[in-house]
Parts: sequence; structure tokens; C-alpha cells
Amino acid sequence: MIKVSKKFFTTIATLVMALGWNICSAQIKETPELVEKGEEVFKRECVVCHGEKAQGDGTAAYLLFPKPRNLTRSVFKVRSTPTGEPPTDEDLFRTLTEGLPGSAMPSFRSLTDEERRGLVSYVKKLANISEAPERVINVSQEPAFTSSMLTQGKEVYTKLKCWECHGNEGKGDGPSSLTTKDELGYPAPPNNFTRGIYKGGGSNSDIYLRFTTGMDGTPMPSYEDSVNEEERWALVQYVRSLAGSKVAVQPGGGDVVVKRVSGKVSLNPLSPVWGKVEAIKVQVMLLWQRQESVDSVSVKAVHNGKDIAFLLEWEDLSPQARFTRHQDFTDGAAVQFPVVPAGTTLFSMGAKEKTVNIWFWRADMQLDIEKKKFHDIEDSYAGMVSDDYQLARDLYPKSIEKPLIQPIGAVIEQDPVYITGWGAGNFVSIPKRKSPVENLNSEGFSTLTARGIDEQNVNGQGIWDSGKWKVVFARSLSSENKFDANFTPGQQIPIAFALWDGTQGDRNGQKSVTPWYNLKIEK
Amino acid sequence: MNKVKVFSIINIIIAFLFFGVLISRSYQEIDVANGGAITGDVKFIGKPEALPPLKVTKDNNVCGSQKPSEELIVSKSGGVKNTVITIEKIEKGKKIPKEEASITNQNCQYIPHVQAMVAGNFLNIINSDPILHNTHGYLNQTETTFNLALPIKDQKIKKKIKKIGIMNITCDAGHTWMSAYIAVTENPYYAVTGDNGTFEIADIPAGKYQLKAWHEKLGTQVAEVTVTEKGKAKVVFDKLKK
Repeated sequence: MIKVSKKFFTTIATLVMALGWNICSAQIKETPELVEKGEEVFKRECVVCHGEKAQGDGTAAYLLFPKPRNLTRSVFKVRSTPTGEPPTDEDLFRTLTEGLPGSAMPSFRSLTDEERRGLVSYVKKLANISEAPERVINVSQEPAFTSSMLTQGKEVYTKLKCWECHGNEGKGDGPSSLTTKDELGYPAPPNNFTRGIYKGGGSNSDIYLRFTTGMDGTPMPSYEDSVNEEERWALVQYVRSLAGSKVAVQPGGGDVVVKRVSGKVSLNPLSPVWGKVEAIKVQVMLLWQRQESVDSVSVKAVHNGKDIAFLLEWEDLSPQARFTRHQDFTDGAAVQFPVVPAGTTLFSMGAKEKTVNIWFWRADMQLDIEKKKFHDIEDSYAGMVSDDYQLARDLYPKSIEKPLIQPIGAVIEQDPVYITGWGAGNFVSIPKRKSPVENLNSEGFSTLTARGIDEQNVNGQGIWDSGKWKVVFARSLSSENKFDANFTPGQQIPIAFALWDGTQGDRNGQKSVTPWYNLKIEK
Repeated sequence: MNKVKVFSIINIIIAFLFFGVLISRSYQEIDVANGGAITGDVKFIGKPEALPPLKVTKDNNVCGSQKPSEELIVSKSGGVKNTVITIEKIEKGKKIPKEEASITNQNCQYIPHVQAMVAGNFLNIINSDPILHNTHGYLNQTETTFNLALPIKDQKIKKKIKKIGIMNITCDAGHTWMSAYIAVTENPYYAVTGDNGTFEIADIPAGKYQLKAWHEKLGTQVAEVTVTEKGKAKVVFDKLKK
């Protein structure tokens, strides 16, 4: 074959150097330190969903739909490259920075540029991407919008058979919509364009790229060879028009300022004092996707040097506070803080020895307080009767004069000795509640622990008003208990939020969440 | 700025050349004189179960009401059709033909159902139906190799197939019964059994090889084969398993 000469070696060496230079200029400059940095960030931020080995099987994966990506297979949905090709570094960087709306992949814009570049390098290593993509799809110059583009776009939508999956009105309900599956065989419902949720971003060029490149690993194919430039831009405009101006954004952290006020901190969500405080809109993301969901929560926070209070407001057109039947679930909201703010704690309910403190408001507990009694099944179903509590103080020993059948709501009249949860002092079982907010701790999934009755120091009040839940959480700034978060004026502490929509069956890990935000407590 | 661009373009070209060197290094093309051949059969022992036809649930006007199952086709004499035979790990041998493979969506069925091709060659994906087909190639069941919409009748898309492995082709346009396989090989020594389950691979340099049979339903079987100059080795595969 080839006789290997010295000259040949020199040529190869030059090629290798040139190749290295080429990667530097076109892609991220990869150094072992950067990959190492990425690995470190990955272990800290990503494994809970993507798994220790990045195979998409982290401890949170069972709670998530769509499923977290198996990063070892080099299949990526959001790319600027032809189908089957790896993404560019910029594509990966962008996904990290913006997150993927319509999934539980948050924005990681709170990480530094270097950390995100490290993650890109590390993800490429995991996915075994060593070659640059064969080419990058060039987004052509966008023509100025004219209304005729919408008519043309609709024609293209029909001609390309977009409607077969996405439906005639773009609601994701076309005739093939129930058959679409992803690479693992999980259902992959077509996007409902009317909600303004675009996984790869909502700009016109993003939408152009999605149908041009296709989304590998999903049934969304590449239309690169099926449609000309003019038709592409018309289709972009038409798809955009289905959602109006709505564009969903993934939560990615930011500041929440606790304003210093004088006087008392009000528990009443409708108190005029809240009017003087600026609201911060915090985007939330559903962990398990469905067609209807709230996309943000408005947050106000105040303190007076002694107490701290948060007002959360979010839209919910069907308040649900019943919790009596098996199939009933209650609305709820929670705020979460690390017990020790220093160091990094996962936003996903803490980790071992990285305890988080959770304040959990529930609409059913709120109802108990309003009614000054335990809201039980006959409150939901008037006239409902059931067996008595056999060992009730007033009913035992049984007598002919007293009826054997009693409404369960008479629980308060019973003897706590025989209602074990109550008798043992379990906060969850108390029929007479003082606060609708539970004080809890967690060190990761399945470790959520309610604190004892004497450690329940968070107060609150929730009101459903004008189609919204308005809920106040309040506590003293400082707490002696080592499992409580502490708030020091002039300092910062991470805060995260969660919402449950009972009507939609939300409970436990089925909820909307945010990653950490930065709570800045005014001096 | 322009200089940088030019330099960058030159580098990209150099990079491609360099990778080209890397790719072709794993299999070396030589002139094979006096090569031997392997012939053989893939046999099904016993009576194969009759597979029910696949129900067509969409576009019946084009696709009809049902399609025969092609998962396991056994001839009267027990020959298994659509088995891919490959020589594993052959370092050098005959030239890789620069031929293009093709797969056609025809009456909502893939033609051919099973084929093999060498990595680096092109595959033409064709739609001869007047309906949308969405041809999705999954390497090793889960890795998208291509995912192409073919909304137009007689549309043809050419795609370079780069990675080695068994690729399953499915249709995401609601045609859930459609399925085909393409074995993407590293070397040109492959065959797919025909109706009577026979195969022949020719122009093999003399030596000892591992011959592998793969069938979508029956599984795989590996045999050791010694090929002599101008000789004809005979192999019977009858113990394929998953």
C-alpha cells in the first residue's frame, strides 16, 4: 500500500493541527478542562432526570412526560442540521440556555456561559459526537409579512399533510395523532399549535428549522426536500397565526425581591398592602405534559424585619378543594428553600444532606379552616351516611337510644385515642387545623416529611377570587429550628415554586414546578 | 475577515479529507484474484406458524384493507426468505460498489422488505403513492438515521447512510403496519436470501471468517467458515435464535 514516509507524517500532523484549528473556529473550543467542568455540572444539575449514565433514566424520569433524553445515543430533536446528523454546538448550547417548552427541560440560563459550554462538550462526549455535522441548514432571508402568506401557508399546510397529525385547526388532533410514537414507543402527541408552545423556540426562524430539519427521535419528519423557500415562510406565518402572539417560555431562574415594609405583614391576599408591591411573573413548567396547564405564577414578597410573607397568584378556572374520594385531588402550591443556602442543592426537592424546607399550602386544608371543621365526605355529598366510628366516646358502649349511624363529620366529637393519626399528633390527621400551610422537609424524592405539630410555624391563607387562587404564606424571618430555612435582611436565598391543579388530577410528583430563583431580601 | 473565511473553508475541506482517510481505513479495498465463495441455505426446522395479515387502518383507498405479513416467509422446502448474511470483521477484500440502494413506499408497503447496503453509500427513499408517507429509519431500533416526509407522489430523497447496524424503517404517518429492514454493513460481503432461502457471497479472499445470519423474527446465528482459493464453502443456518 502506501509507503509511510516522513513527509506523509508531516502532512498528517499538519492536517490534525488544521483540523483542530477548524474545530476551534467553527465550534466550541474543547479542552479536557472544559469537558471535566461539564461533567461536574452534569453530575450536579442533570443526573436527577437524565440519570447517572445519561441514559434518560434518572430518579425523576418516571414523573416526566415527555421522557428525558437518553444522551448516549446521539439523537437530538432540536437541531439546525439535516435529519440523522448531530446537532451543532450552538444548537446544544441554545437548548441548555432556553430549555424545551412543552417539557420538563428547564432553561439553564442561570448557569455561567462556561458551565453551559462545558455541558455542551460533555454531552457531545456522552453522545459520542466526534464529527461536525455534514452541513448546517441555512435559514433563508425572511420575506416581509403579507396577509396573502397566511392563505398560501394554509395551502402548504394542507398540501404537506401537516393536518394528518396536527389537525385541521392545528390543535394536534389530526387522524394520525393517536398513532404517533417516539423512538422508545412512548406516545408522542403532535404539537397543538394554538398554545404557542414550540420546543425549539418560538421565533420565525426556529419554526422554519423545525419542519425543515424534522425532530429526530419523534415522528416529526424533515420537509427539507418537500417544500420551497417561499412556501416555507408562508407555512411559518400560518403556524404562527394559529397561536396569536403567544409564545411559551421555560422557567430558568431570576430574582425575586422581598420588599421591606413597615407595619404588620398581612395574611389576607386581598389586603391593599399587596397593591404596593411589584409582582414578579415566574414561569412554571409541567412535569407531565397535558393539553391544559397554567404557565406562570405571579409572586409578591414582603418582610417587616420580623416576619416574611409571599403572595402567590395563578389562574385556575376550576378550583378544587375536595379530597374525599379516591379520584379527587386538591389544588395546592408550595415554596421551597434550602435549609443551608450555601452550596448547591437540587431544585428537585433536595438531596441527601442537602435538606430543603417546603411550605405546602393546600386548598382542602384551607376549606377545613374556613368551615372550622374537617371537610369530610358528607360535606361533598350531603345526606351521605356511613358506619360510625366504633369507639367514639359518646357512642360507646352502644345504647339503643343513640343511633348507630353517624356522619363521619362528627370526627371532632370522637376520642383522639382511637383515631390514631390525630392521637399521635400527625399534622396531616388533625381535624382542627390552625394553618392551611404545612411545614415540611425533604432530602430527595420519597423523603418528604411533615414536621410535628409544635414545629408547624408557617401560617397562610388562600382565597379563590376572579378565576385565580391567591395564596399568602407567612412565617417569622428567623427560626431556631435547624430544619427551617432562615431569612436574613440584606442577604439572598434560593427559592423554588410548585403548583398543583386538582381538577387535572395533579398530586405529589404530578405538578408544575420551577427551578431555583434567587430570593433577594431587602435590608 | 475574508481571509479567515477562506482559511476556515480550506480547513473544512481538509477535515473532510482527513475523516475520509479515517473511514476507509477500517476496510481496505484490494483486487481479489482467485477468490472463493460461500453458498448456503437458511432453513426453518418444523412447521412455521401462519402469520395473520396486517390490518390496514388508514388510507384504505390507496393501501387496501390488509397487507400480507412479511415477518417470516418460509418456502415449501423450508427455506427462509429475507435473511441477511454478512461476513463479520473482514479487513480487506473486493471493492465496495458505489451503487445506490433504494426503498420504495408502494401501496403502503416497503419494497424491498429486507435489504443490505454498505455504509457510506446512498439510499434513495421513494414514495410512489399519492399520499403522505413519513419514512423513519431507526438504527438499532432507537437511533434516528433519517426521518423524512414524503408528501408528494413519486418524490425521491437521497440520503447518505453512514452508520453500521440494523436499521428498522417505519412510517410515522399513521401507517403502523409498515415495516422494513436495511442491514448497513462495513464491507461489501453480504447477501439477502431469496424465496427459497439460498444465498451466495463471492470473491472472498481465502481465509477463515465468521459468517452471520440475521432474520427479523428468528434472530441470529454465527458460523465459522474457511474459504479456499476458487473454492466454494457451503453453510447451512438452521438454528437462528433471538
